[in-house]
Order: sequence, then structure tokens, then C-alpha cells
Amino acid sequence: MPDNTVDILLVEDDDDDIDLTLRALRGKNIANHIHIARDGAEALDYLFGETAAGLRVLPKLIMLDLKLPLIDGIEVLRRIKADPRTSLIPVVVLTSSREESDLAGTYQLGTNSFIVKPVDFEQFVSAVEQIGFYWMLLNQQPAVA
Amino acid sequence: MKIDVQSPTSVRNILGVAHRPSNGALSNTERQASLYRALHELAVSVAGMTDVSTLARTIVEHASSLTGADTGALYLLNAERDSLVSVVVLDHPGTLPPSLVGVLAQTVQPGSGVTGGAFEQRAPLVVGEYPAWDGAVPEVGATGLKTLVSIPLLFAHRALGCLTLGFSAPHACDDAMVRGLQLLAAQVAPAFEAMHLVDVYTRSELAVSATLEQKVIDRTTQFEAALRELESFSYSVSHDLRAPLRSISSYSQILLRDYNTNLPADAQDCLQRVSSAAKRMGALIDDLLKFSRLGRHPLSRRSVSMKRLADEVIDDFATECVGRVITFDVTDMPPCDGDPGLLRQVFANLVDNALKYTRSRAVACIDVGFSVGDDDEVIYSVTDNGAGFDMQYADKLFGVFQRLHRSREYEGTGVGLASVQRIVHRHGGRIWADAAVDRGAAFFFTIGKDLPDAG
Repeated sequence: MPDNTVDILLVEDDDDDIDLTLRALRGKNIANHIHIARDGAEALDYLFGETAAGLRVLPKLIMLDLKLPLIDGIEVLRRIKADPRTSLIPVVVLTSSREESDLAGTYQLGTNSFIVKPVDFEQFVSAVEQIGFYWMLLNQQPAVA
Repeated sequence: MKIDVQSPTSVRNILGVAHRPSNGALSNTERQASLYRALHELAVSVAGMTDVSTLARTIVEHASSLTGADTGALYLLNAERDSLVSVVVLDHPGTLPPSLVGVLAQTVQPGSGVTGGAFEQRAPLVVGEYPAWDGAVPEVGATGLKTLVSIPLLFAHRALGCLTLGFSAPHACDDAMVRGLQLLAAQVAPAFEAMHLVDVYTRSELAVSATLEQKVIDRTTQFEAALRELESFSYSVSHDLRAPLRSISSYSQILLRDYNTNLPADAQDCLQRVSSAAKRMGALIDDLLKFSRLGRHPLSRRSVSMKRLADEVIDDFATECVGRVITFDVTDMPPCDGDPGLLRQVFANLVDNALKYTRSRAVACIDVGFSVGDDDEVIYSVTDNGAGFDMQYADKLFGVFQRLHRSREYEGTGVGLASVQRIVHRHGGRIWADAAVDRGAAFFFTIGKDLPDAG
């Protein structure tokens, strides 16, 4: 695997949530390569932007917060699902919101999982672990073209 | 002359001096009789008329026929009460120039000409040699009219307008004709006043209903704006408050978990309190959001089996009942017309409370049943033999975040009963409680029939 391989793209603007997510993932050695985008524009730039080496190696999993600066998570999700290059990458929506409108909105756009970040850290760790474990290790996805 | 009213030609010239039939004058008695017949005809034909211009045309045509006038017009005071507007002008000028119609159709100022003079004086005005008259309006004189007579339409001493007739012959109108026209004017003036009042009333009613409608629209807009604001507030509460809370809770847990051995007991205790306070606050936020969502979803009413609903809810609490001795008694209850999802929450909250407050009982008894009140109203009830409460605080029972027990004794956020009340109220029902300290509590509620969503 080349050095720039990314297992997970974490799109999250809250420093604490980034740190807590990394702690949870690191604890179980689920993912070694995690790229962090701190807003929607950065995430899209990472996925679709040109690099010196040509086409980006795409992540195996995207963990996406909904409430993001610049371009919100719903729009990021819409563009990921609309583009054939990224439409098959599993997306887990990770958010504080329990509002049904979010839920309905994201499921319509073809999100693969929807996780409300629990206030309780142990629950949070277990939720993140389950996501990471399921999508990284168990889920056999078709090769991304 | 265009005449479409019932046979007024038969009485042509009964008032007239201008075109008296050559075969001899009518006797006074005959003239009187003909006049009353004509007035009777007029009264019959105007009865039930609701349109001012139709009424005016009928009157002018009758008056012209009665008097043998060459032309006629009817004027009414405008809404601003500053000028007289022609409602109808007969369109047959006969030997007179066609321009006459346009001249008579002009708006008249009170005090000006024959019509304005009669209106202002509230008395008939007759001019037999119009071109030579001091007050003559040159335009009218130029049409060749020689005799002009105007009769004010009086009602309650007010002039509503004028009936004006014109003759090409001089001195064509005598006193008898004027008296006859006055009689005619007196007969029809109340009809104009009635139409005017109906018009004013209709307009004001329209204005009132338009105002009301606008008010409803305004209020609805305001209400919708407030609702959207509330929704976005709920959204940001959900998003923005939970995030820092998660940090507080998580980092205190990480410290407890990963650095436990390095922390003195007191520090561990402090962190434990921070962590559990954060969890409690998270539960409060969740409950508050759930509560705010209760009001936003439209009710979907259908027939609900309350017995089955209560049974299902009790089954859901099976894990909470492990290790306790509880007797549930659910009687067969009449169904009701309500939103099953929301009614389930009513039972869930009430049964949850009953379970909670009977915890100290060796044997907890929880009954779900009903009674029939006035007007055959079904009153559902959930009764327990638990801790109860003092009825003097009953008014606080259903308020959001209101609690009657210390959280050390009985956990809870104080949203459950507020939610129950909200749901019952949305169904057009009532809820109340009866209890005594240490002697159990009973909650009663009704579900309204056929009522629309009470909001």
C-alpha cells in the first residue's frame, strides 16, 4: 500500500470530537490512516481536488458530521453520492442531532449509517468502534473505480 | 322615448299641460285617479328592486311618461357628500340635440342650476323660461330646453338627490304636475335610502371580514415564524449544547478510566460527579427536545384499543420489573379515537411513573382502567399504591421540569407528565390527578371526541 493510503476520511469541525473519535479508533487499532477535514469545503477538496500525483487514493470509509462550516454535511453527502467516483464509498453520518429532519434528509441521500454521538464517552467509543469495525473489517465493498 | 315599464303610456300627460290631448282635457278627478294608478304601478314595479340604477331608470321613465317631458335624469349625492352624480339620463333627446344626454350626465354641484338649487333648498324648483333664467347654465340653455323642473328626493329632512325633467316647450310644468312629482319622489326616496344603507352595511361588513381575514393571515404568519424559530432553536440546542456536554462527560470518563491509579479518591469523586451531571444534562436536553417535538407533528387519529395499548406498554417495561413483585390489573377499556403513537406515550409515562413511585412497596399494585363520567364521557385512569404526593402541590404536577420528589429519591427530568398533558390537550381531553402522601396516586384523563387538533 502506498504511503498516502487513507482508510478513513473524518469530516468534523469540533476539536474535541476529532480527538475523541481518534481515541476511540486508535484504541482498537481499527484504522491507521485517518485524514481529517475540518469543514465541508475541505472534505470536497480532498475527495475531488487535483493532486500533484494525479488521482487521489480514496478513503474506504467517510465519517461525516452534519453541521459543518462553509459547506454543510448534507451537501457534502449529496455530492459524494452524486459522483460515480465516490458514490460507493460507505458514509457514516455522525452527529449530535436527534432531529428526524436530519435523519430523513440523510437517508434520502443514501447514507449508510446514522449515528447520534452519545453524551456518554463509553457509548461513544462503542459506537465509533462498531462503525469502524463493521465498515473497515467486515464490510466487503466493491472496488472503487 | 324608450319605455320598458308596465304601460305608463296609458297615463301619458295626465299631469301634463304641454301635450294635452286635442280631444279635450281630463277632469281633475280623472287626473287624480290616473295619477294614483301610475304611482301604484310605480310602487309595484320598484318593490324588490335592489339595484340603484334600475330603480332610478324606472322612476325617470315613469315621471317622463306622466308629465310628457322630453328628457329626464336622476341625481344622487355622492359618498363624499359634495356633489350630485347622475345615476341615469334618458337617452332620447327627441327634437332636442343628442348632446343633451352628455350635458345632463355631468356632475352637478349643490346650488348650481335647477338641480343644484332644488337640492340645496330641499324644495321643488321650476324654471319656465330657462335661457332667460338668472341661474341658467349656458351649456344646458344651448340644448334648447325651455322648461326645467327638479324635485328633491327627501328622506328624514335630508336631500338624497334630485329627479330632474326637461321640456322643449316653455312653461310646460304647472303646480299640479309639481305636486304629483313630489308625491312620486316621496314614494321612492325611502327605497334609495334603504339601498344606500344596505350598501354601507355590506361594505362595512366586507371591510370587517377583510380585516379579520388579514388578521388571521398575520397571526398565522407570526405563529409559523415563531414555530420555525422554535424548531431552529431546538435544532441548535440539540447540536450545540450536546457537543460541549459530550466533551465534559467524555474527558472526565477518560481521566477516570485511564488515570484512575494516579488520582486521589477525592479527585475521582469530583470527576464522577462531573460525569454524572453531564449525563443528567444530556437526558434533560433529550427530554426537552422530545417534548418540543410533541407539538409539531400533526395528529393522525384512528380508533385505538386502549386495553391493547396499555398491555403492550406494560410488556415493554418487563426488564424494569425484574426482581420486583408487581401486580398489574388492566381492565377492558372502551376504545378511543386518537393518535396511537402519542397515546402510547401517555400510558408509557404514567406506567413508568407508577413503577418508579411504587419501588419501595413490597407488592406494587398498578391498575389501568376506566370509569364513565357525565355525558357518557370515558375517563381512563392509571392508579398505583406508591409514594403519592401532597395534593396542595398538584398544580405543579404537569409543568415542564416541575418535580415533586427529590432527585435523590426518584430520578427524572420533570418532562414526563408535561408531555402527557400536552398529548391529552392536543386530543381535546383533560387530565388530573388524585393522591395522598404515602397512599398512592391516580391519574385520570379523557380524550376529546371529533375535535380537531387542539394544537
